[in-house]
Amino acid sequence: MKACSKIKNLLPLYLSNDATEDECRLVTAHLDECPACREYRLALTAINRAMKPDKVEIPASYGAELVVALQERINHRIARQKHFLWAIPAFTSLAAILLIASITLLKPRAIPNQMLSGLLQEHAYLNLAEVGYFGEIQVDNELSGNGNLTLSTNELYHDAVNWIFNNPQNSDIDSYILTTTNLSDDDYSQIINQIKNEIL
Amino acid sequence: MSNERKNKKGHLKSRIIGYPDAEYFNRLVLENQEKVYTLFRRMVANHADADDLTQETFIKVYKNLAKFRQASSVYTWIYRIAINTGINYLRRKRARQFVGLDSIDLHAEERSPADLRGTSSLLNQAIRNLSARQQMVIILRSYQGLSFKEIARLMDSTENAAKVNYSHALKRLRTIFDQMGVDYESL
Repeated sequence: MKACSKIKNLLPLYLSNDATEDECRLVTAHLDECPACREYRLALTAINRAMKPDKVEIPASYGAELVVALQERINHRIARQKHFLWAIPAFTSLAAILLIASITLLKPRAIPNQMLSGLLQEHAYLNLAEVGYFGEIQVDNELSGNGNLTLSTNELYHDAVNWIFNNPQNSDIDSYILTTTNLSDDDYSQIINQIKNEIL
Repeated sequence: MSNERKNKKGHLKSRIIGYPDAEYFNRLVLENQEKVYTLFRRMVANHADADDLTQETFIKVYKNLAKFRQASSVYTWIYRIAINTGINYLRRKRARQFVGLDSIDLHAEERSPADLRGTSSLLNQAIRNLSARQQMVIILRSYQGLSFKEIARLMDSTENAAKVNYSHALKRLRTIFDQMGVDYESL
């Protein structure tokens, strides 16, 4: 049985003249004594005969038609690539615009993060002055010429509260303070209390 | 100038400009289309499919021609691309058969049995049940008449592997015919 299995593997090569001389001798000797393998050979011979190739007919103009068809496909491809190449800078610009816009729009809009206690620092003071919070004080300060602030924290609070009450058109006080200075809870309470005292 | 010299010059030009020189590419198409088309015509049932596969092959040639290193002849390289394209097609076709998409042959009435690679439809039906590589080895050996050495070179395998594939393919065909109860004399 093992011999039959080996011969069945060799038979296709034997029939297509691809077996070596030794393999041919082995197959021939086995076929002489094995009817099952002889039957197997007949089946393979019939299959081989059925696979005999006919000549493939190629349309006479096929070569020229193929060249034209390929050229069309290639031109189409090149045109698509050109569109794509044009699209690269366009998409890059669009992406850059979106990036800049998102950075600008998402940037916190509050006035720089200054504590009210930091108002004695000149730059913080002037930042607030820019938005009109201590406009009058800024003018005084500029007139003094040396840029040094002489106001104490309490005086500053007091002026701030007065300014807020003298300018009621600047909407509600809580939101104004919260948006113009990023106060700590303590500072915020202190200012609110002062405002309440002024009102009372 | 001989064709070989023209091809070398055309290839060099393609390498320099980065994409195939049109004249060189067209010449390659005209020189190799017959062998490529014949391979596919033996593999598929009609001209349209063979034409599609031939075009697919030459488009791949176009895309990769500038990268071709001339380690083998340009003919071998193109034929190898065709064989890989064919194997991929047969794999796709087998996958479709498994999900039943190819069970209905819409063009069956238009096609005579002689259209199917010039062989009987029974044989074709049986061959379609072989693996893609086995089908390709059968086509290359039995229909195209290539030696196992050439087949091995074209299919990136060894001569022995090609022989084993061929042998297994024939054994499998015989088993299929036995299961179908085919009379071998009628083939």
